[in-house]
Amino acid sequence: MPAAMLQTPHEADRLFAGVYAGKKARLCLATTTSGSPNLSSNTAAWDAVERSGSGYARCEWTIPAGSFNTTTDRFEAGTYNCTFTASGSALTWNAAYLVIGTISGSTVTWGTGVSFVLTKSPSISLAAGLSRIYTVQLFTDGFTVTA
Amino acid sequence: MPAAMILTPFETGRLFANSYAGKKARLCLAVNTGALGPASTTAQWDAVELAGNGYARYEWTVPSGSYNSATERFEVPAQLCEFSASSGGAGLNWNTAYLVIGTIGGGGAVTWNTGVSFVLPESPNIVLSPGEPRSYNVLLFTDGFLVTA
Repeated sequence: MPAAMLQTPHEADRLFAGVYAGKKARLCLATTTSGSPNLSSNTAAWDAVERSGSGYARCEWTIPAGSFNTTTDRFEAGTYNCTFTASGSALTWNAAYLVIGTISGSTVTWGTGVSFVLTKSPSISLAAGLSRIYTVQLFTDGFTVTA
Repeated sequence: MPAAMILTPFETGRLFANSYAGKKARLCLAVNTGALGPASTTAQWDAVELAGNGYARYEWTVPSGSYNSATERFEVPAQLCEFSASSGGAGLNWNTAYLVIGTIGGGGAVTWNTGVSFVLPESPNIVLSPGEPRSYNVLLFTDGFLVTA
């Protein structure tokens, strides 16, 4: 049975700084069909089934530097609330996906693959005028080495 | 109860490429009297690193790795890190292994991170007699980043 080395706060910090801090994130809603696209699909495939109309708009934000939380033992950014509001007609989706992008000047280059996926079954349907909030928290704590 | 979004293979690869692939790693042995912990700096750990009696840090360059669909993580093959107490010495004795990641610069110069990445405490101490070897099989992988929504 291999032993797991303990990840240090330094490492959680280094990882977070390298892959999340200062980068752009966007949370999007989509409708998948028969499990497609899936976890291995690229961003283009997900964007092709992204919702449109009914008041839908992507939620975008810049990820802050974050800090180590000694209670949760992880390096984390504060939570970010993504609010989606239906207008005109119902807004329906069965998946949310998150993409990370790199900022250069005023240009964002989104990752060619999506970073996280959240599927919903049954689909969520918001009547016009209603809102749904996803509270997103990015953190690093799970890298492991076995020795 | 927050729902955890599922980490994609792409993300594990992005994390590994940014954090480990092509970087230098070193596994070191030390005697910690209890003063040091995971939050201690590399300089503090290096100050209690073993010396003499055949001890030498084990260093290697982390390869680029690949996604393993069976383990659902991005990983590199395990690296065998061998330590050996010299035949004519007094043996080796340690209670901690620690791993440091470094960046390779121009001319091959390595800049080690100011904080250690991983720590493995051993209890009781591991004692090697003169001429005796001991190895650690180190497997670096990425699979644990999560986002809650």
